[in-house]
Amino acid sequence: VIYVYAITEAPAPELDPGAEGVAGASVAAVEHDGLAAVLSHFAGDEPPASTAESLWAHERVVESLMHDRAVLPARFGMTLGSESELRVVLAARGASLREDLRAVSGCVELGVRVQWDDEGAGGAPQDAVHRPLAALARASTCSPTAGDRLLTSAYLIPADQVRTFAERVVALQGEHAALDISCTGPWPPYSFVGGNG
Amino acid sequence: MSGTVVPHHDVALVDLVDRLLHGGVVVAGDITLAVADVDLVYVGLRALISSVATAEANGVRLPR
Repeated sequence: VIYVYAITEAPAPELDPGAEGVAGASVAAVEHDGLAAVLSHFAGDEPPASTAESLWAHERVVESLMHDRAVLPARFGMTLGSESELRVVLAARGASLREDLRAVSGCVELGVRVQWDDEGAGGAPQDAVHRPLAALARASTCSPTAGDRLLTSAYLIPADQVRTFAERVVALQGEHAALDISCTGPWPPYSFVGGNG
Repeated sequence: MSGTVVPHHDVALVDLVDRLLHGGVVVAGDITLAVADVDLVYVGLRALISSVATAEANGVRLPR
C-alpha cells in the first residue's frame, strides 16, 4: 500500500535521501496534474502501526515540507492501493486541493487549549480568549466543551506573525489568572483543510 | 489546578493526536488504520492535561 503524508504543489519537494517516515520507511513523492503527494510504500496490505512514535514520524515528514511551500497534511493512517489509484484521486480532487493549498499558503496553525476550574472563570473563556485570538487569524476553529471546562481552538496564522500571536497568548494568560491557557505550534494546517469527508 | 507539571512534549502530543486523527486532508475513502491503540493513548492524555501547570502551559514552540 501507499501511505500518504501530505499533498503539496508540483514540482515535488526535494526530499532528504535519509528521511524516514513511519516505521522507518523511506519517503518519496509522486507528481500528477500540478500536485505532488509525499508518501511511503509498504509491502502488502499492512498499514503502519499506530503508536506515538509513528504519529511523530508522520508529523516530522510533514514539517520537513513546510518551510518553503504550502502543504496540506494528510490525516494519519490514510492509505491507497497503488500509485495509479493515487493519480486518479489527485485528478478527481485537483481543483479543491489546489484551492485548499491557496487558502493555507504562507500560514501555520497554532493550537490553544483553555482550561478552568468551576469557580472564578470570570466570563466565558470563548469571549475572553478565543475572540481576541481569532481577530489575529486568517481563519479559526473553536470547540467549546462546557462539561469538561475545556476550550480547544486552532488558528491559521501567517508564518511571520507567530511571535505576535504567542505574545498575545501570554498577555491573555496574564489578564485571566483563573484560566489555564496552553498554546502549541506551529503546526501544519491540519484543522484548515476543507472538504473532508 | 494541581501543581503537577507535565512535560511540554506531552502537551504537544495531545495536540498532535487531535490533529493527526481528526484533522488533515482525506483524499481516499479508507483510513485503514486500527486506531484502538491510539484511542487508549488519547484517553490517557486527556486525563493528563487537566493537571498541566500554568507556567509550563505558556510555552510556545517557535519556528526553528
